[in-house]
Amino acid sequence: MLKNLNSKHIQRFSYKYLPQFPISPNSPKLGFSRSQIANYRSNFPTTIMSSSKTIVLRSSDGETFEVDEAVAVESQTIKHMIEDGCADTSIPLPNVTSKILSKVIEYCKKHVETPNADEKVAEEDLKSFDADFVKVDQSTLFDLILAANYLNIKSLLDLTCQTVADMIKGKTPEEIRKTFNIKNDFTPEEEEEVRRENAWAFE
Amino acid sequence: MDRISQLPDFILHHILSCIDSWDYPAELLRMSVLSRNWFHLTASFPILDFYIDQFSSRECFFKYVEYTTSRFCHQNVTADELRLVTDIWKPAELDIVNICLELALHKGVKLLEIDLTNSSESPFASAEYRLPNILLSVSVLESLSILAFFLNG
Repeated sequence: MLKNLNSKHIQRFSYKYLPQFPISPNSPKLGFSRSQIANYRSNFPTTIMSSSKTIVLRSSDGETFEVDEAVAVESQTIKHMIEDGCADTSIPLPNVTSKILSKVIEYCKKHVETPNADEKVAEEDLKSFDADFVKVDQSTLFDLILAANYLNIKSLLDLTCQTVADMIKGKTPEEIRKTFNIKNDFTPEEEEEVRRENAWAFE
Repeated sequence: MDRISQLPDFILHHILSCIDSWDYPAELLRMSVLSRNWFHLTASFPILDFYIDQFSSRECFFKYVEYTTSRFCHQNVTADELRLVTDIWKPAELDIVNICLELALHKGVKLLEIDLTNSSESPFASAEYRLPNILLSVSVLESLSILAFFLNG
């Protein structure tokens, strides 16, 4: 008999087992199971989140970005502007292009979202995010430094500056010049004099 | 295009401060020959760390202290941090230490750490050290830590 079941039958059967209204003390117990709730939450996270205020940021090239206030206030500059009541419609950021602003927002989002519950795992995850985040070309890296400074996001400024410092460490002057395209405007005599004064550093 | 040299000085100093302070002497001196701009940039670096243990020769160390301090004082900046950890074996070394402190304090220092505890090897092992008087009148000093063999005055 089971072989003859088709989808129509199954639908009718499942209809029969839905809770019946009105609910009386004798009707079957209502309520989703814990696993059902967890399943729902993992598929629809945004509907569970409380509606917090969003802030609109405008880049120098006119593009707008809507971000949660919690993400936006990672920037002390934006935080003060909101506190001073300058953020009614949108916040203009004339010093930041859309390309850089979207990266900065990505950074802030990740740092705000990382939960504190599972500390060690979250920390590792964040570290690897940061490491990948700064794998960009030099031009973008310097733009990120300037943006982090303008927007006053200390952790981003520290991260990007440390990245540049790591590019400098341990290199000879020639290698550093090559890495950053620095033009040597010393005369050979001047350079020789500086090197001679502190010969030990150049061995 | 050389974008790094176009960054504002305080950001470049922040980048330099991310280098391990143990490596400062060698790294800063190597970077001072990159270009004229970088020569002045490394000269005005506001963190002056002098640890004798970083150097293999005492002469090298005191020469470095003298060189760095005089370069710094030619720039028009106040120091953020000055750390001096050494012991004194000769009067000439003491002179350099005193001149370094006086010049730096004259320019203004926010954080000052001095450690002059003498090891027993030094002929000055039981001598006294007198701080320069200028220390009494610094206005921008925010933090001070001194370890010396005997403080007098």
